[in-house]
Amino acid sequence: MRVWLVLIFLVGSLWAKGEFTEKRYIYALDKTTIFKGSILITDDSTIVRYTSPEKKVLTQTGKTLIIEDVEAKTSQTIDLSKRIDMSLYFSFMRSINKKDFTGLKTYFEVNKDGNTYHLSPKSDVKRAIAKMEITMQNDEMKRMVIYFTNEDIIEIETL
Amino acid sequence: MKLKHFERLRFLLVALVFIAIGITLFVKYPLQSDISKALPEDKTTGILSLYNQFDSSKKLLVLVEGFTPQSLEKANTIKEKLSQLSQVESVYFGTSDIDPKVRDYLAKNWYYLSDFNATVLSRDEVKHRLMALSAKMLEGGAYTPLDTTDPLGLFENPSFMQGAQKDGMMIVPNKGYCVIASIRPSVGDMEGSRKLYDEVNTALAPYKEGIVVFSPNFYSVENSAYIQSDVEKITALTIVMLLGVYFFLLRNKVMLVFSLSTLFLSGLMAILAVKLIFVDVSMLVVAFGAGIATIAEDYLFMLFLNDDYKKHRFNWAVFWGFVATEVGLGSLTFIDFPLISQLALFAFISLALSYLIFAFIFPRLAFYHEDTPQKSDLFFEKLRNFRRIPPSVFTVLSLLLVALSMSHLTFDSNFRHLDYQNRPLLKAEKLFEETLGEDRIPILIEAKNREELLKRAEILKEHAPSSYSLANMALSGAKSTQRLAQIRSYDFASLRQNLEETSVEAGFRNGIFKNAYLPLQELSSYTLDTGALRVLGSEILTTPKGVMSLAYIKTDELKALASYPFLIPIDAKEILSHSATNALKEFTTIFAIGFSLLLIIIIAVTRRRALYALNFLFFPMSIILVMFAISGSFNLMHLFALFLMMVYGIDYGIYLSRGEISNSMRAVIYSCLTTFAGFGILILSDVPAVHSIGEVTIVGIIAIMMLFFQKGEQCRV
Repeated sequence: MRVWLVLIFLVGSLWAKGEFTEKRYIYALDKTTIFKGSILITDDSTIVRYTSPEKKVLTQTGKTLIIEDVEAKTSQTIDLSKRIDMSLYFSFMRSINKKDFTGLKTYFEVNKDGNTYHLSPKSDVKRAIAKMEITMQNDEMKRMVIYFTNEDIIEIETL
Repeated sequence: MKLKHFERLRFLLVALVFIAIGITLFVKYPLQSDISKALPEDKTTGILSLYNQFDSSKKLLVLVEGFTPQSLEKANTIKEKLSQLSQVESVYFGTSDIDPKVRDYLAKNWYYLSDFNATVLSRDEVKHRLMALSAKMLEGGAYTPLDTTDPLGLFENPSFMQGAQKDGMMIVPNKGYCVIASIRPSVGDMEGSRKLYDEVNTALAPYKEGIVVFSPNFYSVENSAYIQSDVEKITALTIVMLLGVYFFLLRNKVMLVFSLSTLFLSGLMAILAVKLIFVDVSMLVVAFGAGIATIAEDYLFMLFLNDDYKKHRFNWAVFWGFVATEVGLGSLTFIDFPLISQLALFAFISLALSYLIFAFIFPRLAFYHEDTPQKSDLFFEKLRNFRRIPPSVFTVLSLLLVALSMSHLTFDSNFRHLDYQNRPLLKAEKLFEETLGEDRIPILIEAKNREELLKRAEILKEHAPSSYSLANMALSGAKSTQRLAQIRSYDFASLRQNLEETSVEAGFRNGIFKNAYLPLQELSSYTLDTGALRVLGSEILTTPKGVMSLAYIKTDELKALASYPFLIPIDAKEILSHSATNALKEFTTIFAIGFSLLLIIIIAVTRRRALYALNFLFFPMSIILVMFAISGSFNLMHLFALFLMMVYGIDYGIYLSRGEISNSMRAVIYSCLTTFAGFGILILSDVPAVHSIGEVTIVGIIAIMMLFFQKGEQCRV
């Protein structure tokens, strides 16, 4: 049966104004890719800049997301009002950025163990995500791991 | 002497029996305080009533101000609280609140509801697509989980109608989070709406700071309560004022008791008769009725002060005045506007009963006017000396004022302006418009049966691609059969084989696509679930004529649908305006007929003195029209009051035209005072429909009093 609610994660965007590395393991391809970049979150928009291995800029403002390929000089616009999955992503991103788990609690059971938050998905999110772990250091996000139900794993660390 | 007491006692006993019966029936069959019941029902407003039956119109919205974590937590708590209420069916806030019925329906019918790209793909094309997919999955940016059931994206997601969202939560843009509840009672279900109102207010009382709650159902609950309290206040004030005025003017306590019994009895009988004819009678009829009924006291003043009781004579002037009034009111009962026709009928019956009692029963009760001269007699004698302005001056002035004001008259066709202006709710409604409606307007799709309805929704979709209707979430039998045949004819087994063979070459794990498109091999037939469709906002409503559904389209797509009579746009403002304009046309026709009849009666009765009497028709009308022109607009209740003032003016005109004696003047001035006390007092009401009548009455009385300076053609002292 087709999963109606497919989550899309714009990984690497979990840190406001900071640089990050993202290790993305894709089970279907049995490959791991490492990305580097930075993120800036303001009141009105979110800008993610990937610097390696490719240069891409993702700008979200209101209901619009623009994905810009800096080298190819092309861009793609996505209407977020038609993408519940993407809206959810921004919800998670802002929540983690603000270190506020109220929004996440709508979709996850949140348990804290030392410096690590363990997030168990509920409702439709369960179909895409198996679990999440977020580790804090000095009240800042240090590491986050997302385990997907399709066995993909994304691990992000701040620099 | 003994006979007089016997007659009086008998009158009181009979009146009391009828009053007791009347009160019992009145309590048993209460009136409506919802003003919408008093508005006309025609084809266009009927459409609005149908719209109100749809579940999509049964909504409760709560705005939690701000986007802080506390606001979000509060919104979630409110969602929980609302979902526990008996009058709330379901609550939607975030994407996790999808109804299980909807989830099952979409899962079962996914391949029917999605757009299917049936292009046949060769082995090379499959390999090429998989390589592009693997490259995309490895590149930076948005992570997309691999959909192993449809890796080539042959099926495209159906589109849902979405409100404004932020982080997957419903919002009112720039204001805060928005919790949306589907409620059980429809707008017309007063009892259910009241229960909902009480439940919601109790449940949300601890959170009332920083939230805005709105439901269209709240209008009827809050406005009804307000109108009821306003009507009670105005009626009580009217009664107190009238008691004072009567006592001051008549100075006959016994007659006061008898006359009040008469007025009360007439009013009560009239309201019961109206209730018998019209099932839904507005509470407002009582407010106006209290005033109208007291106008009958004028007949008592005229007969009593003119010594008709003492001299046992029939007063033909009063009779013809009464006939003219009844003809005017009678003509208004034919107007297809419940509030006006109910009022006119009420006035017609109560005045008739009062007149009959005052003219034929009161002479037996032997109430006689004191002959002893009073100080006030001197005042009325002196006043008579000021009556020097020729009637022609008033006639010319009236014509001039009518001509001047005509070009500045604007009709206010918005019925909602007659209802109590509930500003907090109106403000709340505007706030939520952005979240719910945006630039889309609702449109009704009519059909004889469900299959035809689905086909018609598909026609709508064809002509208005961005519309949201039944066609977005359901298929007609013809289309689903066509889709099934299309899927069955597609060679998915071969496609899967190509996927398996080329996936490794494209870098994928071996066997990763072994289940791709597998469910399509045994695809069951499409099943319509009206329950799920209702939750998705595509309810199918059964009507006596067939079935109906609601669609939402962008305003600019409306023109393309003009040639389809089964698609009916619903613009509440436009519909009510159309209905009001129709009522105005009808009113104008009846007004013209009534006016002509009144002219004929006046001329026939007053003959030579017709101009004098006619000024009582023309002059108040012209002054009131000037008032309409100055105030910028007029409504149907203004027109109704204008007609009433003309009708009452004629009463005075006929009475005074026979020649002025001080007692006639006294009777008319007393009548003006009682009209002010009974009717003018309505200006204090906050309900525009009631207030409008008060405004016109006061201006009308001033105009009639100005006519006291009109020179009579004959003088009988």
